[in-house]
Amino acid sequence: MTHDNRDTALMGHEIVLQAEGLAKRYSRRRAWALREIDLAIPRGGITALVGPNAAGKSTLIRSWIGFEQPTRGRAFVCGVDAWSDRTRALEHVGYVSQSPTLYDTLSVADHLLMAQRARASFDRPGAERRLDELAVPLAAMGNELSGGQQAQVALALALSSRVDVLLLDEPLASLDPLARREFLYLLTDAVRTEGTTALLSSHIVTDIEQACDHLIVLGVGRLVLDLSVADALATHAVALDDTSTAPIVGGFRDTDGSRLTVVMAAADTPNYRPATLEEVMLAHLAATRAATASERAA
Amino acid sequence: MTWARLAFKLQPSSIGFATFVCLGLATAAMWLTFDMRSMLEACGTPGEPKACNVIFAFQDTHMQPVMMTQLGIGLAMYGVPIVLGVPILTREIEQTTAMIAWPLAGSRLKWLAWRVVPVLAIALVLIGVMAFAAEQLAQAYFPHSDIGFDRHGSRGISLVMRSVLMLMAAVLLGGVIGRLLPALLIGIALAVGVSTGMDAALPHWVESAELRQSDSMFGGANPLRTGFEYRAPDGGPISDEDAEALHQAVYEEHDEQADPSLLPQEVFYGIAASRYPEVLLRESAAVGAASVLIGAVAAFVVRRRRPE
Repeated sequence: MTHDNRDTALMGHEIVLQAEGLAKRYSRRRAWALREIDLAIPRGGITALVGPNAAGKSTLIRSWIGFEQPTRGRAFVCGVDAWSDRTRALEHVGYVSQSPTLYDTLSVADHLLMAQRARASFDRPGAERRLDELAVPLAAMGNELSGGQQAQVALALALSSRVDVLLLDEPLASLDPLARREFLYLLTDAVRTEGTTALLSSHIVTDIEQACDHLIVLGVGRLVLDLSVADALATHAVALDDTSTAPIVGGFRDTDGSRLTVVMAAADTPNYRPATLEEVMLAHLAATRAATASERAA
Repeated sequence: MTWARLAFKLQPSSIGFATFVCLGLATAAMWLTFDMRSMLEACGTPGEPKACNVIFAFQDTHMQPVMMTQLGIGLAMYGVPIVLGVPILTREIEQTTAMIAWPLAGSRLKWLAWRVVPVLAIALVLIGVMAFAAEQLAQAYFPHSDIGFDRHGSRGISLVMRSVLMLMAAVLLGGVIGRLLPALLIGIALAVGVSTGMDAALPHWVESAELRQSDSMFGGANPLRTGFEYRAPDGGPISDEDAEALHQAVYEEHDEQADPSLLPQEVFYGIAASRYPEVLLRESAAVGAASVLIGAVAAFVVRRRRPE
């Protein structure tokens, strides 16, 4: 889906996260972390934000949470500028960082108390119930919990703040497979029952493809892909031979050394097989990388 | 109370250290104060006991512990604010807990107030107790006399105000540097600077004037001396060399029976002890304003900086 098509699809939907020409450069000597990103994410559902390392995923999320001042453009949360009116924007947002660290000397219950004092809307019984389901002891001190448990507490803090948007910056990266499942269960349950919008970033698509219903791919600071997971799977296929006449998205080498070419075609077309979400992402990233290399050479 | 309890739980070791140091020094100062008062109270008054000579000798035996206690207080008045103030932001940034706390709090200013105000309140109580004890100790060493500017800056209100200034500077330093150890080391250097700067500013809070003879004599009220000059018998100022030459000339001419009016006069400039409250008030106002300003800069830094 092109950006114009997406705009059309968004008509009539309330936009909760928006970027307008958003660009970020940390210093003049460094490359652009984000380049002219235009995005609009409607209310509801889980959007996957994927891309390789240094694609700009964290920078984009940090711009929405008000941690980064855009070099150019603006980032909005529920229509509020996330940098110039950060306090008001944060009323709508919950955030979980890559390796959430709790206070060593505070118990889990103290963290919940702190959140309750900080946010009038914080649902402390709800947070206690969630953590109880996950067998996270409320009396345990922050430094007594595993990385997975700390992430669960951070997610419970964010979810129970009853916010419109959850920004999750690679929270699965440091979790073991079981903890990932539990984290995603907690997230999807909250999104479906409470109508929260979640943006979940990861550089591993397979981690999140089952939980997400929308996909945004970033590569070298650029917006590469922005469409629903269903559309991505329906409109991309892997060419099984060289006779394909469909428009080529990109090609990359598979783990067995063979070359895979992803094309824009329906998956049920002869000589094609359905592409996985990861293959769609890799093909677009390969195309972006090639385009960037040619730009640099030029 | 919730915020205060949480703030205490976030810095138990530094608050424990500050409590131990401040109350320990205050206890030592008060013990020495009561001990000296019990012996010195009767001396220096009309009809003082004959034993006062012996008692003043006893005072000398107390000199060393008094000086050690006062040195400890002088170090603690800057050390305690550094230990309390620097970790407020550095620990949040180093341990990345700010990444949870700042989005949760919404307003970073509200968050900073939550973190700083309880620590400031605890510091005020602890340092206030220590400052009171230091004041009593300074007074007890010279009973029945106005100690004026003696030990200014390391007792009473002036100690409290300088400590508050240092605490706010330590918070700012932690926010700018974001790393505990470098911020502590720079904090120590900053404390030396603050102490030196305050001492250098002291003579400028009110205008110096020529001190009257009673102001400049030992044993009377303790003025702040800021200058000294010689004057010729006719009242005109002369250099040190000219005064020395005049001294020699008069003694050579008159031997030991020289008329004092022929000798060069020593004139002291400074601030009389009677103006001490005025100086204290002005310095406290200036230091208080500087503390608020530094707090505002710290708030600006927290508003702008990244959480890690």
